[in-house]
This record gives sequence, structure tokens and C-alpha cells, in this order.
Amino acid sequence: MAAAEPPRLRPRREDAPTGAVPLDLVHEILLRLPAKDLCRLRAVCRPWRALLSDPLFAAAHAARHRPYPLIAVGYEASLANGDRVLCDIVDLSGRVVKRVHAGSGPAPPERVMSSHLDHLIVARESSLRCHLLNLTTGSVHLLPQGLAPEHAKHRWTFSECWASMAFGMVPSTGKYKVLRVLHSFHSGDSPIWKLFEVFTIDGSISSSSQQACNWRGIKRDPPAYPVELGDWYSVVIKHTVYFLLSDYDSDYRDKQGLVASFDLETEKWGESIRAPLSRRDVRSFYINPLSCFDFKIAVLGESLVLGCRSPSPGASPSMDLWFLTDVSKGLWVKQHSIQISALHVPHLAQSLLVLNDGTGRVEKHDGNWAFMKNYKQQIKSSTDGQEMKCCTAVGLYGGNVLSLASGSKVAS
Amino acid sequence: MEVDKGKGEAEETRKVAEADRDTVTLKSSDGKLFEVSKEAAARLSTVLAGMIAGGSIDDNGTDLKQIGSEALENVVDYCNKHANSIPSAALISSSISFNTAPFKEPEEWERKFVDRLSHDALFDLVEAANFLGMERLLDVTCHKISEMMKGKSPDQIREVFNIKNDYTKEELEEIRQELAWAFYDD
Repeated sequence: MAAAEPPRLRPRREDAPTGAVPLDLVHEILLRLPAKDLCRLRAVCRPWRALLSDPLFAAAHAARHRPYPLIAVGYEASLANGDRVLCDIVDLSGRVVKRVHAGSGPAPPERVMSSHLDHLIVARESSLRCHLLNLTTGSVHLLPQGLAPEHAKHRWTFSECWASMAFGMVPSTGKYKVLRVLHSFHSGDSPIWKLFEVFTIDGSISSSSQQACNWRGIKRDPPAYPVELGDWYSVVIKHTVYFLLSDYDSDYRDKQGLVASFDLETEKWGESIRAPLSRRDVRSFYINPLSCFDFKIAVLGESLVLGCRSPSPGASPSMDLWFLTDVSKGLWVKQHSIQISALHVPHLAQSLLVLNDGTGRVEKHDGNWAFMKNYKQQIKSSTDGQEMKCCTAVGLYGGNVLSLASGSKVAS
Repeated sequence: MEVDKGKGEAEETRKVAEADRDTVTLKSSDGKLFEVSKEAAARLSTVLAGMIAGGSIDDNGTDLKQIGSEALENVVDYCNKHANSIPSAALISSSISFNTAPFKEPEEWERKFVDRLSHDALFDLVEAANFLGMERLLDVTCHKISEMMKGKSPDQIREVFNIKNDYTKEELEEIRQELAWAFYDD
């Protein structure tokens, strides 16, 4: 028998662009890699890019991995913001993953009012002229202008007003619902100086006929305290909007911090929940902003978290993270304390919590599980030399980075 | 008549003998023979299970023309040594693409099993596992390959996988700029 080398049935495919491993197995292997590696590996070859840009691959990957943490930062796209950047989706190091521009030309200024998952609410010129923008698909849904019909009698009081809003998806219908609070500039003239309204976005109705639909007034009594919504003041967990009751009105300054809620599904207000600490020291804010309590509302997974910064005359301020463990009893448990920057001035930065355990075990808050990013500093440092844009909304981006970076055009 | 009967009896005897054996013989593309526990082969490989059930196992060595001797040796080694600690292949969903369950981490011994392999041996083994419908071995080998890809540059990946760069210089630069964030390792 000749000692001939047995013929290789599977040659190393020296000249095949797909290389040593067939593409269906490459698919299996790549499914196991983190999203960031996959974005980089689009540069390997065309067949790999085609595979990695496939929405089915993105969906299969998303089913097996935690979302890659990204932050959506919304801006005011006006003349001052030269290239009309509406939104940057950035990674935790502040690097831009995707940039979204507002319509070009002599269009009116646009500003991001609120963000949730992979959607933004964008106001055009006025906070009463808004649309919902899907950052993954680029689709736009107009929100109706004008007040709810049942609020028509307040038309004069609200001829000059501003609105703030929060939104989320109602699981039973799969539709987005927007909650807004309208504040009248004529508040001194009328006992009714704020109105609450909801609007259901029905994706099955075309934009033109959707304009015929209206906002609806909320029948049930709103909380007795001032309410402000939007990324700075409210978070949405599942279908419930949680918000800190505002303290800018002097009457409420001595009250203990309160968290209120609104269920987008049932359209009912929840019982106010007392914060774990009192914010009585708030008056000293005017003497030294770093010496007062500072509450930040945040969300981690499906837990509501209140970040409470205690007065800290020392050099290294810290923020305690209280988890709302029992909504009905209003039970808070302090689970973590994190160092924050001395520059973390109250009311300037929103708190974002991101799971960082890297193991996929999200149900356990142990070990190196969470950190808080002062995104303003992060973004400033990463865009050195660029003009600072006016940031109007910021939130964790809930979309899939693989769909985001697939080159789908997003414009509003 | 007589002859046919005798032949039939012989066939019958052979089949009984084969059914009684607790190993099967597998033949690699280059003609080498390997013995593997029948029970393990049937539990770990959907393809071998089908062949055993269908009686298409050849006592003199079942031809596996797709698999080289080195890969087949690894397959047999994996089956024989570790059969007892591995769940049945039949219990795991046979459809890979539509399975959305999280990936299972390899056991310590499975890590060691693939860690000693060269790139080429690993690539051969992943194909063998795929061909034989060995879901768990496929899982372990894919996991190992993905581990060694982490943090690598596109250039390094092309080298390991022997992939031809079919982009122009300009296209590559465009991709690099568009995905600049993914090229930082923080």
C-alpha cells in the first residue's frame, strides 16, 4: 500500500471567501459573541456582513443575550446646533454608535421631549406639536395637536402653555400610550392650571387619519402635588409611569419626598409612595448645592430605584441606591452605595443605572452589578472640541444594537 | 430454496449478533476504524441514533465519508469517555436556528477537551459534530471558537478562518468609520 496522504474531503478552502468554516456554522458561532464584537466583525468580509446585518440574526442574538447597554441622548436641533443633531445613541464610554439628524433645510427647531426603549417623542417648535419616532425603523407617528375635547372649555387658559410627557407600551394591546401634563402660563388667573391627558398611538391607523383622533382627558383626580414628566423626572417600568412629585413650589419644600405613579393600562393614578428619606435640608441648597439631599429616580431591570445623595461636607460624595421592594407597602431597601462625582450637581444630571455583572444573571443584585454614569461628563469628554449641544432628554436605549448599526436610515 | 434459507438465517444471526454488541464501528474518510459505545453514540448523536435504529450500521465499519480520522477520533473520544455525564441528544431541541434558550456553559471537562485542540482540529470537530447531529458537542466547540474570537480584529479573524478580504480599501475605511465605536476595546 502506498503511504499516500489520504485525500482531504474537506479542503481548507484556500480560495473560498467564507474560509475554513461553512457559513451555517459561522452563524452558530457568531450567535455566541457579544454584540460589540459582531459590529466590528462586519469588516471581515461581505458574506459575514450580510449575515450580521440580517434582522433574523439580530432577533436570534437578542433572544440569547442581554441588550448591549446604550444611552439615547436627545438634543434640541435648532439653528444653534449647526448640523441639527436630534439624538445620539452612545455607548457607556460616550462614543457615538448612531447619530440621528432632524429634517434639514429651514425646518422649525425640533427637540427631544422624552425617550423610552427605542422610541423618542420629538416636539417641533412647540411641545404641543409632537411626534413619536421609532429609532430602529425610522417610522414616525404624529400626535394630535390641541387639547382633549373635554378640556375645550379651558382653551383660553391653555392658549399659552407647555407640556411634558412620558410614554410606554401597554403589553395587552402592544400599543404605545403617551401621558402628558399641560402647564398653563396663565396659572395665576385660573384655579385649573394643569391638565392631564393620554393618547394611544395606533400603529394600524395611517398618520393622516390618526390626526383625527384626539387626546383624552384623565377623569380621575391627579396627585395634589406639582407633576413634571419626561426623562429628568419620570421613569417607565412595564406600563407604569413613576415620577417624583416636584418640589419647586415652596409649599411642598418641607415635605418628605414622594413618588407617584400612573398606570398606562388602567389609566389610574397610584398611591403616592414616601421616599425613604426626608428632603428637609433642601433649603440649604441655596447656600451650598452640595450640602443638600438630592433624589434621583432611576430604573434597574424592573426595579424602581431612588438615588439619594446625603449631605456630604466631605470631598467624596456618595449616593445611596434604594430599591422599592414592595410597591403596596412602600418598602424601600438600601442595596448599594456608590461614589459620585463632586461635580454631580443636583438637577443637572440624570441618573442611569446599568447592570454590569457580565454574567447575564440579572435577577441577583450582587457583586459588581451596577454603576451610575454621569453621562454629561462622559459625553463631554468624548466629544472634546465639539460644541456642546443642549441636551433635552436622556435615557437607556432599549433597542438592539445589531439592528441599529445595520445601516438602516433613520430620519425624522 | 435451501441456500436462500441458509442465507436468511445467517443474516438473522448476524443481525442478532450486531444487536447484542454494545459498540458500533465507525470508519473515517481515510479508512480508519473506531469503536464507540452504542448507547453513547445513540444518545449523543441524532444521526447515529437513526442509523442504529434503522439497522444501517455496518459491522465492518460504518462509512462516515465526511469525517477525517482526527476529527472522528475526537468524536469517539468525547462519546466514550464522557457519555454518562451528558444529557441525551434527543432531549435537546433538534432545531438550532429557532432555539432561543440561552446557551449552556460548557462543563470543566468539556473545556479541557476542546482547549487542547488546534484551530484546524477544532474546525474539523465542529463540522463533524454538526454532521452527526451532536448538539452538545456542537455547543461546546462553537463556544470555544467564539471564545477565541473575542476582542480580535477583523484582520486577525480573517487569518484564523482563512477568509479572503473581499472589500475594497475604501469600503473598509467606510465601515471602520461608521462602526468606529466598536473598534475601541474598553
